[in-house]
Amino acid sequence: MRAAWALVWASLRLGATLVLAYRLEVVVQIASASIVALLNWSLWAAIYQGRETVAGRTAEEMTTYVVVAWIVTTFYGNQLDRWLGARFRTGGIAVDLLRPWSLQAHLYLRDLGRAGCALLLTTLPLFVWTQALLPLRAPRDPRVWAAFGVSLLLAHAISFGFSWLVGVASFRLRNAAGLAHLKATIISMFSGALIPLDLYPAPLRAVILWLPFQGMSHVPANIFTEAVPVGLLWQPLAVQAAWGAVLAVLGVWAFRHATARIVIQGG
Amino acid sequence: MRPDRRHPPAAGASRRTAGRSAYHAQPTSRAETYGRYLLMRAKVRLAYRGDFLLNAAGDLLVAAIGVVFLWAIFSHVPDIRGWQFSEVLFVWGMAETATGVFFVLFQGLWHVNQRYLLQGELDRVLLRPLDPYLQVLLDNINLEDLPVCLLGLGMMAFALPGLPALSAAQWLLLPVFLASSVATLGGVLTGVSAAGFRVHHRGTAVGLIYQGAVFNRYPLDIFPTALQRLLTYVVPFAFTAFYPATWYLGRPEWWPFVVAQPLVGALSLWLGVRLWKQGLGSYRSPGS
Repeated sequence: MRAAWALVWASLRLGATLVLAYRLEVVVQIASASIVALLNWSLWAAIYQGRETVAGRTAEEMTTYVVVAWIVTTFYGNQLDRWLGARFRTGGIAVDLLRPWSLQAHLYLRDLGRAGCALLLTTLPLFVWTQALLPLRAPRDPRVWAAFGVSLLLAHAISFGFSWLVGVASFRLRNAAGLAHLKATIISMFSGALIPLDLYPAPLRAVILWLPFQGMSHVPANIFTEAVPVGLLWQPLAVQAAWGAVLAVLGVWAFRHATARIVIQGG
Repeated sequence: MRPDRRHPPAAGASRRTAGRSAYHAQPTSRAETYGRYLLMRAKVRLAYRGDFLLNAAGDLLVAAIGVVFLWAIFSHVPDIRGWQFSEVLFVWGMAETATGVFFVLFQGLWHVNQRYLLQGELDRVLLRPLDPYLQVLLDNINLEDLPVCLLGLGMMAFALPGLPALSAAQWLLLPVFLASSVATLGGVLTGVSAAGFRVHHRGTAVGLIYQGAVFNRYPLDIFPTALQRLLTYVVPFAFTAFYPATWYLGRPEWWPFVVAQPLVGALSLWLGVRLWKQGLGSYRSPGS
């Protein structure tokens, strides 16, 4: 049992160390996310000029939504699919498969370590400056904050689930850069990170809300803008958790199939 | 005339044959050498054909998000600060077209820091009797982004019925404005990537330039004034779609910037390449 915890801790720490090794990248990430947040905010501020509500939301709600929806990508966004693809191409995956633990669990924890580090170094500073300089609103109710925290964690699990599936697909496709690209596109279209889901027409929106992608940016941003009544906060969280679990199980299954007959490329 | 030179083997032919014929037939002109460079690049990319198609589809989808985004916004509001749907669509289409061509041509600069400088691939480039800057560009020609240009042109065409009728001069100058937009985007990136010669770094900062370039898709005056100045005088992305587009939208307020636009493109590219060549002078091989 103690050994298991040591493994968990080591995986988490490894992820954090990888962030800290490239400190300049952190600055670049903050700058890059700031640019997008500023762009989204100016655009929406302009759209609301002379208007009270758009798609049933006030200017303050909408600008908060778009800024938060983008900022949380710095927490859950990962490059694991590309990393796994590269491990496969270089043959390094052979070593990863030999290790006496679940690669999926190890990478999940490693990325959680990365996300935790990113939360402190990137996500929170972004929250602080946008809240200080832009006329956004922050929830007062501590229960909303707690739910927001949980939804971030679950958004990360969903994001990891997709990256893992695409990464594992590269074992069969040999080169999954295209698939990774496609994944990123679908996520930016249906997660709420770029396009607020409330903007879609009702029938399309209903479909999108049934997809797992909405659990990545839409749910945290929706909770943060207090669009969900406090008593019902458990609902979106339960949906997120369910999708996270489904993707994890799918990941186990896909990994088993992909590694049953794997071609290891020269080392 | 040797037929195999004029008609190089198709991409499907075996690699060994392709390589041998390319090696034996001496290129006669510089243009032909560059043409072969392009052909090799196409072959390399098509080796993973499925991946190539998926990448092209992915890039197209990324660009298509813009259409969905605009459509979603304009299904709720009639205009953004006085800009109608077809006007915003035209600016966006022009930006997308220019950015698409820019991505096809200048992709290599993204890898300058990581691959060419830190991993020392520039050594190989410098050994060849061709311009190193052009080699880096041609080595990385990215045909996957061609569909994006088509999408951009499609957006512009789709916007046309909602705009004032175009004059002959406007049709004739459109390629000039687009070329200058590409030159502006390319020049800025070239200049920024030149910093890699001095600051040894993985080069993700280069990506920031692209992040900043997406501002060119929107009518400039929806942004705060400080941002407008920044996008005009410091990183001239406003010249890569918005300023030239205003002429086509029949908005005369920005005419000095429209006139200056071709100059800005030429100047940016010239300055960028100059900085790059200067940086090249201080290149030290990592020896790996």
